[in-house]
Amino acid sequence: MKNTLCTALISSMLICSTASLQAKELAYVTNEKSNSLSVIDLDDYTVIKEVPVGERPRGFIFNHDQTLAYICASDSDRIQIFDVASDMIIGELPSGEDPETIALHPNGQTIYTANEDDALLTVIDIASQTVTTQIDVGVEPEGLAVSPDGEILVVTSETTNMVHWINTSTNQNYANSLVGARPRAAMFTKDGKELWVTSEIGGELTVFDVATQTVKHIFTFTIRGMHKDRIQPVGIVLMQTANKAFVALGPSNHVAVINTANMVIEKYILVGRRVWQLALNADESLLLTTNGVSSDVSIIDTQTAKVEKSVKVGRYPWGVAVKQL
Amino acid sequence: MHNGIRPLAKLAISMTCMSNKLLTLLGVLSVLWLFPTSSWAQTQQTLTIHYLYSLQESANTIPKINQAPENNGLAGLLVGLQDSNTTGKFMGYKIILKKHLIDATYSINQALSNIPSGPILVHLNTLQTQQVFTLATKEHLVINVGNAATELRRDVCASNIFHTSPSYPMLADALGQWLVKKQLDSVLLISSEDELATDYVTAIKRTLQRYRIAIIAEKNWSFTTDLRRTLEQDIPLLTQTAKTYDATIVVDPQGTFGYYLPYNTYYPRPVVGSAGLQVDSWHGSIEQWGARQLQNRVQEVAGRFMTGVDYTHYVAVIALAQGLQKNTQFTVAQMSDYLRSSDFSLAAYKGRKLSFRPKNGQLRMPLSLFHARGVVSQSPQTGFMHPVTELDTLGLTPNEICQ
Repeated sequence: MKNTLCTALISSMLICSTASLQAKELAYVTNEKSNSLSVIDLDDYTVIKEVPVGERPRGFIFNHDQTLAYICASDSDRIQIFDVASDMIIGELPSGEDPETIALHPNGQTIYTANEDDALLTVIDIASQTVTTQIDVGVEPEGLAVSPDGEILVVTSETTNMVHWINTSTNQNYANSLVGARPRAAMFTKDGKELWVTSEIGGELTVFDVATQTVKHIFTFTIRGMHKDRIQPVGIVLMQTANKAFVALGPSNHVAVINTANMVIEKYILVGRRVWQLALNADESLLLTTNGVSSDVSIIDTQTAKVEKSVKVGRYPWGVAVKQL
Repeated sequence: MHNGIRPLAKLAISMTCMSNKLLTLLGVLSVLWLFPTSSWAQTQQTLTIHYLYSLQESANTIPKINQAPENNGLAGLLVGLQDSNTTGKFMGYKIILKKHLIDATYSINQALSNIPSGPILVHLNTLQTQQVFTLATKEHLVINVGNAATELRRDVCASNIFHTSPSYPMLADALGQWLVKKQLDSVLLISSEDELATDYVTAIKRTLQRYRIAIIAEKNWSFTTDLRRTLEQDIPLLTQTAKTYDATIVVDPQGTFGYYLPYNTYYPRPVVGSAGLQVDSWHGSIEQWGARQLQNRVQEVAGRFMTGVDYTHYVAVIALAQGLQKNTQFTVAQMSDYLRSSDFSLAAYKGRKLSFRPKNGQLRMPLSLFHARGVVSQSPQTGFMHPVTELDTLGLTPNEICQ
């Protein structure tokens, strides 16, 4: 008995230490229909573990030092606090009903979540684990983004077709902008001057001037041989180290590559089915896409814009984030 | 307001007063009005949607489980209002509902004389719907939200008349495309003899001819006896044919007998149509394309899943709301033009944008094929092409409309 326990302990330590020795980066993927996280070693592109979490996990982010992650367990109606070292859920944040996406304020103290079923945006204080306030927004709020200086929060509402602009110091909604049908993701540029918003059914990507909330540019996408109705922009990432943006195009199974210097769409990369969210690794050499229908993750080399590998994960992968070791 | 042109939405004088009025009208929606109104919304426009409906009673020969819910349609309408008004609070408009129950004491004539202008949603039988179409003036925007009759799309092309309900030819084509995809080339056609069934049967025969699917035999359902104890003897006899068929199409819009057929046909072949594999604009099992959130909202309002009729009501309201988002000052004519234009596209949980056919105002939409517990497929099927949009492979072709 003692021996077995020892062996078990030693072997588990070995697994842990070898994993941490080998892997420099791990990608965490939420599986909406498996109620789990798949963890991918980005050195050899293999799934090293699948960790059970709450029901219908979608939005997933790390805290600043990547010791904790926050997971929207939508059907459990809570945000779970995940301890990365132990793979354990160590606590919960009150989230309101059906949290879908989350964003962390740069101060690391405040977390925002969109409550898709309730047309609300919930502001949560992490330290006290309490809801600071709830802000009325449009029907089915989805995409969240906090400006790099932390002053502005935006949320898109899918059925209201709007971007709601919120002042983070007062938590007041100060402007609303109409965009194409079914807006999904929102992302600020690193200088905080532009906001990029995708409209899934409208098939557009709108670039706003943040200071005036006016539209600077609208991208539409064309893929040869693909009906335009199937090209549905969703997740966005903007590279910090290069003038490049990537946009997931949903059921068209492609990711668009945009040159942000001249605002030209340069390429479409074929990935898995219904590509949803995107994430870059730390040095931005790799782009990861969650492909909901094919239940895999495509790993793309951002230099060559080619898919390196497709990795099978749990059912309906949704959110993705990369942790450095 | 001058020159006889009035905006569709009217300026509200007092918002508090409006909220109270709404509470009385729409008790179910009370949760919506807990929200404070955004202070920056300076002007408030209100649009009244008039809803003409009759009580749809199910024959008591239909088993309870197959009977339509009492608030079929209304639930979708209420959720549509709730969604639209959440948007409206940012845009400065509010939509309210006025119900007109058409019965022996309140005629369509009376109802229309009480509606000087504005949008009218119609959930009535074919004859009554035609009457509304005839009596409607240029000040009305009429949306048929619950009637599939072919003639309403074939013979009426007024610019202010729309249909969010799928037509029988659309339903039949959706089914036909699936049969083609599955290479089911011959069918047994069984139908009841009522007026609705006759219309649907005509549409199905049109589809079968289009897709070159053979009718092995055609039978009428004329049983008046209680079949519950003799199903397994009688149905195989009815469905026995000299030549085998690939599928049985059952046409029974009232739901009086179709449910007897699955697993009871003489040849072990699928039953499609009004029983077995069914086709409609919506089903409670749809969760794709964000539909789960919509289903949740219907659950909250009605305590049940969304039906096809709820969906067609819902879409009618959000289409009008989208018009108000574009311009809260729209007149009826401007709204009609906008809905029929190529500028209009609606996101409505179907995975692609919906629009209205400019010629007859029919809503283009993919249709779901499902069994009692799950979605099987969605038409148009891959490979059915159309120069304008694949969605137009469902339903009447332009040369069948208003010739």
